Amino acid sequence: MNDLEERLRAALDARAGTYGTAPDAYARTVSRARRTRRRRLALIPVAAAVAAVTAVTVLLNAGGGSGAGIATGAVEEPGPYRRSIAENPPVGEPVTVRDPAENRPVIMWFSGGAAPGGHRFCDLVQQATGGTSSGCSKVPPAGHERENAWRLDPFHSRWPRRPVELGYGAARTSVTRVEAVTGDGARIPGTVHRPGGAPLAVWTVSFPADAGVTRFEFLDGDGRVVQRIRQDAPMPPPELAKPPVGPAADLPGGLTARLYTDPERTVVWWRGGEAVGMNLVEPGHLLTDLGGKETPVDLRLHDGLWYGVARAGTARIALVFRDGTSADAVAVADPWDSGVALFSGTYRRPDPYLEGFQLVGYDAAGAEIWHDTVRAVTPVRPEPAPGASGTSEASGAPEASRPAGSPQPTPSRR
Amino acid sequence: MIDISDIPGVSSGTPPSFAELFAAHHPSMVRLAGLLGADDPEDIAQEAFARLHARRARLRDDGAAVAYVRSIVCNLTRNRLRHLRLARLRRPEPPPDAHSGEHHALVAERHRELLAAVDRLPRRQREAVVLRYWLDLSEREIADAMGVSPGSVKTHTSRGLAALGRALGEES
Repeated sequence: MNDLEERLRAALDARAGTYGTAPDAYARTVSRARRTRRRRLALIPVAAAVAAVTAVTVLLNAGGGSGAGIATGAVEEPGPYRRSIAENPPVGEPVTVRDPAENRPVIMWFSGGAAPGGHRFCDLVQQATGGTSSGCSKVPPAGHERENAWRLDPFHSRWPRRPVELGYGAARTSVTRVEAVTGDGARIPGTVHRPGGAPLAVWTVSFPADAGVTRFEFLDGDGRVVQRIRQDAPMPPPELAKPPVGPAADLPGGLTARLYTDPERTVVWWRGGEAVGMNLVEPGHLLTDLGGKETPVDLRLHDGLWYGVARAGTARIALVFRDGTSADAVAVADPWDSGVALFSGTYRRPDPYLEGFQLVGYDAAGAEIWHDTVRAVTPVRPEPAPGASGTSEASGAPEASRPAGSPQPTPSRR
Repeated sequence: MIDISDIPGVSSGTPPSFAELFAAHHPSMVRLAGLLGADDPEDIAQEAFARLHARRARLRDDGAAVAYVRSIVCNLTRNRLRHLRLARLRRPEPPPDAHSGEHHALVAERHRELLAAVDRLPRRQREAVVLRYWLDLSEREIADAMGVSPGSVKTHTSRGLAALGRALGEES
């Protein structure tokens, strides 16, 4: 080996050592894989025929998961959508609906042509914390050309389960109505959108996760069911494959924290028998962001709850809103010697991420020991602004026009 | 690189789980993506493992699984760089640096010239050089990862080395 080769190895080694890994990389990857698998599963018809589905997903602006609300809260416009359509130019108008669980937009459009690769259904999804992901799937999927509707959303198997689900996908133009059907026969109406210039229709339906929805039914203009798609139960996460370790920690807000150690040390937060969130507390990746930089707190904030893990020695945390009002949470040392403080509290704001906020940590003497600022999130929107778009045939309240915090549709019986 | 047999609790006769494969190889895949010039190496590595998760049952063995992930990292990085180049052509403002200032500060001063020259290599040459001199892969393995013939691996590697030598000579 000559001198140049030796120098090259040393230089590459030196640079390689500067790339850190994300503390929640495994959880994010499993979630991403689950989303891809879910896309496949969602496309398996009731007859259970197996088909391969091409789904290419690109994380455009990581924002969810551990520490995301702190590190990457803001979304730069017009970034995500423009980047997506640069690779997958729209055919017809995009459709934008509100994801009720995140209170953020979901943008859907078709791309490609009838030949040779066929049409693709593309979506851009934003998380409450501001992160976005985008992907496209061939539609109709291979092996499913004779069907009339396909489910293509990424939410089905997301864990922890979202309190309100949003199902969506593409349908033949002959489909005029979509309904989510519960196990006891109750029906929740959805919306069939007809974007101008698009080759297919887009369907959306939102429903409470605990409604017991078992399938979606698609009807034509004569009221005939032309397609059924099964709604499967979410896959259990790998974190829960083995029992928790050590004692449980009961905290305010009705939350209980349990430690799971396989595949990695993870705090799972439970409320009313349901897992609501998790924090990775793996040694070596404790309270570090994507770049390996230390962060003082790993926050989860949703549905009136804020909780998570903070730097050891934290005794109290204040959640300070933009108008100066605040909520407090007591922090306690974790009972598993993971080197973090656990905290939880409640808040009464419609959507703190939209306005931005600050977290301030105090020690037992009341002195500030850290603070972290979460920038305001800007919801994504399609650009250029849609002009004359197509029509929507709502079987019930349209998701697109439902304001944040408004009641979700309730099942009705026919 | 970490070999699967190095993972605690995994014997040679026990196929490692996805979690074990991830634990053993995720850091090196992040670094590979970074060395190939990815602007978000973590994202590239996660996507590569997510694809492995979806296809694992079809792969013949775990060595194939690692090779598969490596090739996906190369492909995704290539596509990402191509996308960034297009984006830069369409946008008047300068693109963000591929690496942060902190990153550069962490790399020893004596490597700076050489790494800058690596960054300027044509894509194929850079891939071949990184796979050969950082991962110590064989020509066959490099060919599999790059999706080219072993003969062209030799060509890309030698041309890359020559270009680096010229660059250093000119700068010194």
